[in-house]
Amino acid sequence: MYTLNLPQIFFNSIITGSIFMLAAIGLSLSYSLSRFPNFAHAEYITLGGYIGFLLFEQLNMHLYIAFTASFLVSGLLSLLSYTVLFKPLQDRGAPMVYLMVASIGLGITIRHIIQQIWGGSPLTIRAVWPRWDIGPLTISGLYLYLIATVISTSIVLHLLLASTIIGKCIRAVSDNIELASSVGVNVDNVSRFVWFVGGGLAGLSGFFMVAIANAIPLLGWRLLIPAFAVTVLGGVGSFYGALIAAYTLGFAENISVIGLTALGLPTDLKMLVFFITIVVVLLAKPEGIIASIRRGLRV
Amino acid sequence: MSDPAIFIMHIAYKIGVYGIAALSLNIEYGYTGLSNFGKAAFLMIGAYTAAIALENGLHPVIAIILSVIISGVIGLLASAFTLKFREDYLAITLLAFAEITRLIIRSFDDSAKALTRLITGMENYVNIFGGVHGKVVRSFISIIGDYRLYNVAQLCLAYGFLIFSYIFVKLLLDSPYGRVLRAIREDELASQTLGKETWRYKLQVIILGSMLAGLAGALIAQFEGYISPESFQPHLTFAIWMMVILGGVGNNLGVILGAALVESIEAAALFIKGFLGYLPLDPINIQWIFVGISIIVIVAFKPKGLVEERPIKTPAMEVAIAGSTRD
Amino acid sequence: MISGVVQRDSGEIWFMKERIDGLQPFKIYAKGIVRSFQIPRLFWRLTVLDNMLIAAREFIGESFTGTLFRRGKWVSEERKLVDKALDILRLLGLSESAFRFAYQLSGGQMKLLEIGRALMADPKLLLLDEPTAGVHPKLAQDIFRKIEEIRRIYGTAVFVIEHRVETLFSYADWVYVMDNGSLIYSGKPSGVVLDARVQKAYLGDIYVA
Repeated sequence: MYTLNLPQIFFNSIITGSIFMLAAIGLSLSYSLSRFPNFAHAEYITLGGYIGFLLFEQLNMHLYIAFTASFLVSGLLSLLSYTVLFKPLQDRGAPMVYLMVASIGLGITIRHIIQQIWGGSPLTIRAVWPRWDIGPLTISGLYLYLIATVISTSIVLHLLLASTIIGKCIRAVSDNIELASSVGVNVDNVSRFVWFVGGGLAGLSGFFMVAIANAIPLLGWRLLIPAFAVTVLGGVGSFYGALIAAYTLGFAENISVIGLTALGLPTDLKMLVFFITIVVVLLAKPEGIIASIRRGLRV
Repeated sequence: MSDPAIFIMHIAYKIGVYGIAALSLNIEYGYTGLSNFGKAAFLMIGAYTAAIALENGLHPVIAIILSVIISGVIGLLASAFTLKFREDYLAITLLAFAEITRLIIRSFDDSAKALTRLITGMENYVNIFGGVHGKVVRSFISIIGDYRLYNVAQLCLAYGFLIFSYIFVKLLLDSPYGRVLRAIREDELASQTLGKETWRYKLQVIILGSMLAGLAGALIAQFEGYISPESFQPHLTFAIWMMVILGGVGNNLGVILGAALVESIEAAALFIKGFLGYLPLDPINIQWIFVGISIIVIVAFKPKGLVEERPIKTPAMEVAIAGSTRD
Repeated sequence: MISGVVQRDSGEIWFMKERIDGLQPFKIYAKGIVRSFQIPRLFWRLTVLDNMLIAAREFIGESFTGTLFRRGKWVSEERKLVDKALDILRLLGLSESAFRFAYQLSGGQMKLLEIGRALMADPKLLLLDEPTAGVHPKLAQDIFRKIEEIRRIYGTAVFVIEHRVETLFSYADWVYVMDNGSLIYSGKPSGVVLDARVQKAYLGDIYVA
């Protein structure tokens, strides 16, 4: 038996939770604004990862350039898919199932274009990150970048949602589209903004996944079920709910991995945590447990 | 694949079998409006059940019956939790369900081995699912020597089941029963105020759809001779959705046509593989890029599919229609 | 609320000496109460005749086993149901449109089909939620005349919720006036205009039986 390194587990859970948060925010916000779950969101994650790989590893560019490019390219792809595909479909009155099917079609197309360009086998970034040992804890410089990204994103989004006109518009639109547009909110602009930022953040989560592990075409797809679990647990469209849900599930994943390893079981089974979360939350409180607790507490 | 006749028969077989799978999704989505995004799971369950049954020396007929029943039972379990969900929640849950099923089948042997060791301390666990390595499946038909005759027999099997499924579905759905299913699709609450116990219908439909999917899965497994968790990726679910939407949502002949078209696209991708040898293009990627783009085009420009849904036709309705045109 | 679509906050609902509050919609239907919706909720991509047949009561062809194994029985039953449906459609002036899809009807026809569909279920009590809302006043007269006829022919109790009281009163036997959720008048239509409280509230929702 090995001993549990509790500080390390705690730290790893924060890292997993941060990835989940970046991956899920856009999914959750676009789901509530445009009223359908966008399965192509997985590919915004994957593309961000591969763009980071291309610039940082293949073209040897500076980390910050690669980082910014993943955000911009994935954000633009997300924005483009909304304005060129999903918005026109919705304007024609396509039922929600058709939007979901179209999003899967788009996702499969993008995934196979990526696979055509970079191939199907895993690609690794060979950069060496600085490491520090603090007591029992090993911290890689990469993780500090991730944490800094998440903290600054959260602060910016918090300020944006809580105190700017755009934030008020976003909340107004996700509460009631007709009402929002009748009081003069430009629903289109709000939606475009959310799709761009959400896609960009998804791209960043892909970038960090590639830096931490490796790039595979199924990268985003593997994060999609956790991202849906975060979305559902936090409540569709709730930023703070998603934040809390992401870290809750980050801990749940790391703890389940420890449990599974201790029993000698395959760690892949950790996906069960997300599946069970989705089903239980949808059965018990479809509006999201964390969102309804918040409402109860009037936070 | 050197014999072109065998190549064509191979495609014809897959059209027949995926025709059954498309019919099953058509009952669920086309008629009842249930967005089952986990179709691959039920084909997978049917395929693995048949493979395990045949491996243990059971008769092919029993293997088929077991596949159908076990898929139906899993369908019942899956839907018992999810029936009340809105269509997007249902889609997310069943999509995740399919991935989890694939994961469980992939890691079942490793898990069971570890648990046996943990509990009894013994190493006597025998693999059931074969994990990532998959399973070799015996064929239902044993004709040795004449490969063409063997393929013809396989085709008869597939199309026999397709015709049987089609007639069954037609008898079941060109009826007041099918009319209620469509009413549930159009407006579930209004159906309830008109006395329909909608959950009961939805449950029956999911069970029936899962059973047909299980049948298709068993037929695929015994024909391909090898299955692995990789054969049941979400792509498979998506291909079946494409068959239904392309062929015509709610039209049983339409979705079989859809199956034929989608399988032909796949065959064409294989066919041009030879020509693409000079270019650095992977035919699998080309095929899926093509499929992905075409579904977007269909959804955008021809959402009703090639063959549109027809009103329910029962004997009484035919009489009434005849009466109205005479007046 | 009576039809089970919206759950009540308080109080009890009784129909024919049975308590029916808290029952699911299909059980309310089984007791003989059938409703129409204010904004038509038809089965849009079904034909008008199919819409009618859905409402039929205890039809063997609608069960899974019945459809497959009692084919002879439901085929002949359905003939009778089609005749009945066509009779009702004729009464409502919809027989021309029997084989058109519900979404192809005009707004007034949709309202009529809502009523016809409810009628197909042999209701003991027919709840009509604003059957003339959003309809031309002339057509409204028409709709009320048809409801009156239905009551005469089928002997069904009809309960109408309506804001358009001026046209309705010539057809009603008994009127309940609601203001802000409480009952302020109950009696003959002729007494309504004399009632002070009604005059004060002028037009609340008026329930007519």
